[in-house]
Amino acid sequence: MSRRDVVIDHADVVIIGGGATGIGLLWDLSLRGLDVILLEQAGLAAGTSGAFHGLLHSGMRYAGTDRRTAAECLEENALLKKVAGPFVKDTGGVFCRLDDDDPGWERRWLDGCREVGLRPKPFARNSLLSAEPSLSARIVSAYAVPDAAIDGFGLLWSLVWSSAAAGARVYFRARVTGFLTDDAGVRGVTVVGLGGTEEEALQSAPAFPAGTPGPAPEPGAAFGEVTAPVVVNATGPWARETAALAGSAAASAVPVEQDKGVMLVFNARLVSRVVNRLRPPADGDIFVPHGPVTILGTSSGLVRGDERPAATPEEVCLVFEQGQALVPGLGLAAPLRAYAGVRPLLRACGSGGEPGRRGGRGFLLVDHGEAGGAAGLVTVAGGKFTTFRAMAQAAGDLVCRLLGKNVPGRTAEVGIPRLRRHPAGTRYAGEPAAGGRGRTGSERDSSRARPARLDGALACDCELVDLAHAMSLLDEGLGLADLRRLLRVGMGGCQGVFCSPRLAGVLWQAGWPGSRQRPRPDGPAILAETASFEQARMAGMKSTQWGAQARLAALAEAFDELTLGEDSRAGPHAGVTKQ
Amino acid sequence: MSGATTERSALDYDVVVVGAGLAGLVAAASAAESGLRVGIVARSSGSLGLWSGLVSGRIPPTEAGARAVRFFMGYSAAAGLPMAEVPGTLRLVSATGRPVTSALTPRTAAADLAPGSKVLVVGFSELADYPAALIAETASRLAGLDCHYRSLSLGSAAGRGLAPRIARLFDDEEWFDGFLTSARRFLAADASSASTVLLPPVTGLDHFGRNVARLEDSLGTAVRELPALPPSVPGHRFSRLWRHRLESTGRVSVHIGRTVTGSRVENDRCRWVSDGLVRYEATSFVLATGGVAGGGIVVGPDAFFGLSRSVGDHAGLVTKPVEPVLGLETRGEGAAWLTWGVRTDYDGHPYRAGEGGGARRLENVYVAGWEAGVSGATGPQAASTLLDAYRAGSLAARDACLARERWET
Repeated sequence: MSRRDVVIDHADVVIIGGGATGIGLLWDLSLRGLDVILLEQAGLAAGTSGAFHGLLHSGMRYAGTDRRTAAECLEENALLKKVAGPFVKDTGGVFCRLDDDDPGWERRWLDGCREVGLRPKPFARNSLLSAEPSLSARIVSAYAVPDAAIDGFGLLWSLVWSSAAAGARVYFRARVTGFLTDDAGVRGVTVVGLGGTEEEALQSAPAFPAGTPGPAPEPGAAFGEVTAPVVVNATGPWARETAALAGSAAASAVPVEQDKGVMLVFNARLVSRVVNRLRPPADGDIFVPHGPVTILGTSSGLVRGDERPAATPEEVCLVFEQGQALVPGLGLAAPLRAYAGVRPLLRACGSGGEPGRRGGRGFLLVDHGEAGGAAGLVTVAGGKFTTFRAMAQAAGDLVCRLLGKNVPGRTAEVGIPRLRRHPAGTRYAGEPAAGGRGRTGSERDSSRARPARLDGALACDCELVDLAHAMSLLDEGLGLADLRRLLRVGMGGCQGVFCSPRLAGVLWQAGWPGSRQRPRPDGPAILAETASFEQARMAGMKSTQWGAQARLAALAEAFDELTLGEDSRAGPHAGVTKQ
Repeated sequence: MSGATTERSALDYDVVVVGAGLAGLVAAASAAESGLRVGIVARSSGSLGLWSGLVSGRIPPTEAGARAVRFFMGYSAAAGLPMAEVPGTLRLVSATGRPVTSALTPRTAAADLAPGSKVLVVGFSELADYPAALIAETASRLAGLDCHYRSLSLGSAAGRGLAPRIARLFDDEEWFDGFLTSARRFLAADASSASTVLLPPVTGLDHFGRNVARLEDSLGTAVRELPALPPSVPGHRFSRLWRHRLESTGRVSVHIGRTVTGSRVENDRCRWVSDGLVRYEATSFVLATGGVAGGGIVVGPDAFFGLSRSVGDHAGLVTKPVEPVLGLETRGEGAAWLTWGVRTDYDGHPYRAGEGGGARRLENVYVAGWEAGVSGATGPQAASTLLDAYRAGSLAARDACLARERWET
């Protein structure tokens, strides 16, 4: 097979973007019985959907500002608790007003809640403080709301696997470089298959101003074509750049901006329910408990699309200081890491609407055939993780209308089971048939390696990740970033410091990037994958260097020096002294 | 003055060393050389559980460097952990197969692997964290070695052991005889065409020297231990054997599991430190808590964000940000890593934040190892820790001897 025909495929619909929006639509259309392909340039949920708060909104956060979003969230919250039950931790939530927060806002907020049909139950201050002893005694009033925590990674992977079982094809490391068009409009996309690690794929993401053609594929790059009568652009904050590949008219129909949010993960269950500050939405006012950790967020600021979002110490400081108002002992909790996500925000059309938090959290659905220019192209963008199903359903209805099919959506009825692995195998661009990735690398004889004993062994000690389960996912062709999102490998106390050299050995045992069945262990690729995993973890620790995390960072460096005796890590020191 | 006042008893030494990692043990050994009574007070054995046993960095070609190295090698040999008597730096490979160098190397690890060397990397299937195949592949590619690998099973007795447990198995002579037989059977052919056989460093906690020698006899080729991932057997050996040697002199007491939480300072001199139960009094003190990595210095959020110049609420000796034990001044800013450390003068005396802003030197305290922070240019290096600690121990001993003479005359 020539490297030039990497992905040649055809379906009813091709979706660009493997985040919650694209995967939701993949699931929606698969349930409607359509033949669907999803193309993702990096990894699953590697963008916005991999860096959100893990919060299933009750909608109450928007009750004072954006009642439509509030109502949408409230409805989807109840629905997802039903159909996506295995992924929702129904912790409940609370809104608390501190003594110096505006009481006028509390009244306005209560009015908003009533208007969308929810009457938040007052939570007696004393019983709240005894139920949540970490919270500040400065709380003067509180209300219970139906917020919950949601496991986005588990949910999205299960949707991908369920859809694949129904015949959908998902290609990772498949970057769309342009649209195929004919007189009737868009009829497919051109694709480049990317080698290397997920981090490399994200860092090399093309950045070009809306309206200009994308860069030409590198010479020798593996590229292909995927054709379909309808192409859906579900690239979230980057939807405008993607639409631009179909021309400036298409781009101008997608008024999406990139808004960065910074979140902080603490290695403690500081609260047992979602805690919101009852004030106009601002920085650092939501705590979401997830198993053993708590996520505090968030900040807001517009960014440019070609920047990889990173949490700066200034942003972390801001979020931390605000968080301290609700949880005064925050300085004593170990700050595991900080991460930054980019939200797709809608600019109100024509009115030059305000950016940032005051911009719309609703979603956008564009039929580019109607909007002018590109028939057969649909853009769906904006929204929130909580509303991803509703977005998928609306986009699915539009796609069906364009295809002339009259099949109703079923996502509101069909329950989503938690799957632990792929029924057939995930596909990567670069190799269309079953099997590993399109990487080059020396194959070495591994026949003398003894089969590894997996019984009871762990891939990650902090999170107690079963080695056998990790190996079975590696057999599918997944990488370490996927193991992190699926199994929490490296998300615990050591943040991958001590387990990443071990994971190199695990990858070798798994015959990676081949599988145990077809071993193709590739030393350079394994070390690059491990280094990339580690760098991504270290990057998250860079802005949280206090308390236990300062010690961990110092130990990480000591570990490099004392055990590995090498400067292999783009480590703490490297980051500080060489930048 | 600060600290708890609940102590039930007091111990009296000439020199008290706080910390029992590489710096603490070397400082204590160096202080004890002059016949003084030395107490080691430490929460744990520091970062030795991470240490490969190789001494990274460069030994400066000075008289002081040579003296420290002579002392270290002599002491270690007497403790039962002989270093290789090879001049210069050795070329080795790390636990992931990348090339590394070592300035001072335990005898069982001392190979100098020139590019082109024929090497057999042996792994044990029970020791999952030692991927022989990956190490061989990487070492061939990056260190230019001609590597092959074999994987052996250690049998059911090994279970799924961590390295120290497997090392204990190697100390069992009867078990080791059996291992030697199967090693000869399965490895002899490959070993005969290699110039060096590399094993994980698990050939015993006590009898590693003898076991490696017997393997060499049996295979007819050089056998060496390669660094491995933690928990580190070489670090464990160092901690055990040095502590044992220190205590066997009868002049050194080791108090491990004791976290220093209080102290008394009078007239710029530390009188005692305390763990809340016991006061440890001494004429001079060495601080070797490992700084940020060892938990001796805690960096608070305010210090990290640059909101305050102090590191957390304290520095030096406490592990909880409650109150300053010695109130030492620190240096370092922003991203903490190892650059945070206690500010000292040329001799290693720390400064104490004085009232009204003036800093006062603590005259009878010396700082060793990472406590003083680590140079951003070189990163943490075992060689500089070793030199530092030897010096701090000697200076503390000198002061104590002078004080004793003064007292006696």
